[in-house]
Amino acid sequence: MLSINNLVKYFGQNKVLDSISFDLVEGRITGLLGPNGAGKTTTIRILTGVLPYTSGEIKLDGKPFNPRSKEWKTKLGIVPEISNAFLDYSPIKNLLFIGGVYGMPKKISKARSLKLLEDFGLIEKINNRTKRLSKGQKQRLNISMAMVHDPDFYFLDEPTTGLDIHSLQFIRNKILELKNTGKTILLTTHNLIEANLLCDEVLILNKGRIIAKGTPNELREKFAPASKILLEFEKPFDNFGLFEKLGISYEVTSTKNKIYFYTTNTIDDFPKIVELIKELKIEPITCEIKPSSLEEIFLKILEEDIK
Amino acid sequence: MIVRMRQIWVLIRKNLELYFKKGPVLVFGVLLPVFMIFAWIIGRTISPIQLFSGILGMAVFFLGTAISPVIFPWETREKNLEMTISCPITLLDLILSVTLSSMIYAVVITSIIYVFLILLLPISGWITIWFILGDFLLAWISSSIGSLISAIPTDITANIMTISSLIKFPLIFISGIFIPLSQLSPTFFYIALCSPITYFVDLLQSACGVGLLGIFNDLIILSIWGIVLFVLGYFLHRHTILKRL
Repeated sequence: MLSINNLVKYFGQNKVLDSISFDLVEGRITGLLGPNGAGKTTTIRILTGVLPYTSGEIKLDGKPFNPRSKEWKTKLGIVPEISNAFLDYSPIKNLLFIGGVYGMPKKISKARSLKLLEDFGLIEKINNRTKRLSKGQKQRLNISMAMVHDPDFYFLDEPTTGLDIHSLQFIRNKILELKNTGKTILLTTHNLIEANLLCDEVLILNKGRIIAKGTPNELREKFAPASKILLEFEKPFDNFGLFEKLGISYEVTSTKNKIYFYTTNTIDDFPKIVELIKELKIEPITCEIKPSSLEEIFLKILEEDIK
Repeated sequence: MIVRMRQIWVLIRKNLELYFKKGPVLVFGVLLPVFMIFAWIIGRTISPIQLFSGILGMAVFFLGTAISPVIFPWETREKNLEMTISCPITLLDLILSVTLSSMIYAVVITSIIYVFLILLLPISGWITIWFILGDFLLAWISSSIGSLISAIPTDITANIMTISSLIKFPLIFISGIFIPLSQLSPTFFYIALCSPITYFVDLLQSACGVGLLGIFNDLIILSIWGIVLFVLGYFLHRHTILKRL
């Protein structure tokens, strides 16, 4: 387990990380969410030994260590947002280069590289120049480069930004496969759907501070602005005023065939709505409770932090 | 130690494979010295020993400074540098690999030039051992100069090459390449001693029996230049590397 305690980073007079603390647990994906400039990439750069930190403590299995040490770096696989493979090298040469700088014997490195190219659907492009690959293929290459030396920890900095749906799905599946093999993963993303799909725990970072953390469900329970109850009718409905006596705030869509009720007490309010529907003898085609999306929670937390 | 040497070799190989035919390397390392040499020799009467030492001096110096200044700004721009830094290698290994790549590039090409010159000019092949020592030393010095200049934290290769030219040309012109040391006035003689190329040229001339400073003095001074420039480059890079990220 990697424990980060009160990590502080200054760039000159500018405090970019303000006492952040969290743990990265084996076999789990931790998501680091936040707006641009929140400190996500700086956190990754510190943990991967690229940047020094100003103060704080980083412990591996309870023991303090230097993230800039060679021993730590051999345990890391890093996937950047923008491909950093050598563009004039072929995919196989990029993988062999990584194997070489991580001190792997050439035979093992070559066998592993070929297997990764096969797994990542790049075997046909094995001798093409990397600059000729598509963005999705480059990102697949980046992930395979991070996997050559089979590290224990993965740091993925917005690995799916700007990818088409096919590549997006492929990379998300690979990330889940890594998790299932017991790897520890830190994933930064802007994509809240992705965080919801992949992450076991989510940290929300704003202006260098962690302003919320928990599983997506915990955050939903704690910060959800309100659940939505949707009633949808086949045709536009005229008598929405009838719902006013429920005393629940609502919103009617412009197409006049949907009504959203906003409630913080779904358990009491949902039966009341169902009862009224029966009483009015109206038949909606949909009647469902829609939990708040992580996106709404994220915006709510940021709003509260600004206040 | 073996793993570390293998890591450094992987970096050297990458540098040589990726950069030997990059535009700035070919222009500043090959084309420029070729034209300078032609401009110098055409229509002039130059003694074979001066020609031999001058051509080799320029070739080693320009080739040695060709690759090393290009790598850091280029890889900063392409984001490869951050990837390399996050690998389990030290900054010293990184700078060593850059310097050695440029040195190997210069040594290999100048060795070919040396063979041609030995066949064309009336120079004895017995001086080969002194040429090899001097070649390695001046190639290392030139490469260290390139590496030192590239410590400026920019990602624009052209900026580095411009600064590199500002330093390289004076070092060529004040050296004993164009006018033998023995023919320089005392003031220019002392100025010539400020260029490491002077000692390489004098080494070859001394090996041919016409030098002024002596083989061993030249070798010792070249070694000192090599150590000082490399150490200086390392400390400058250590100071500026984070500004590149």
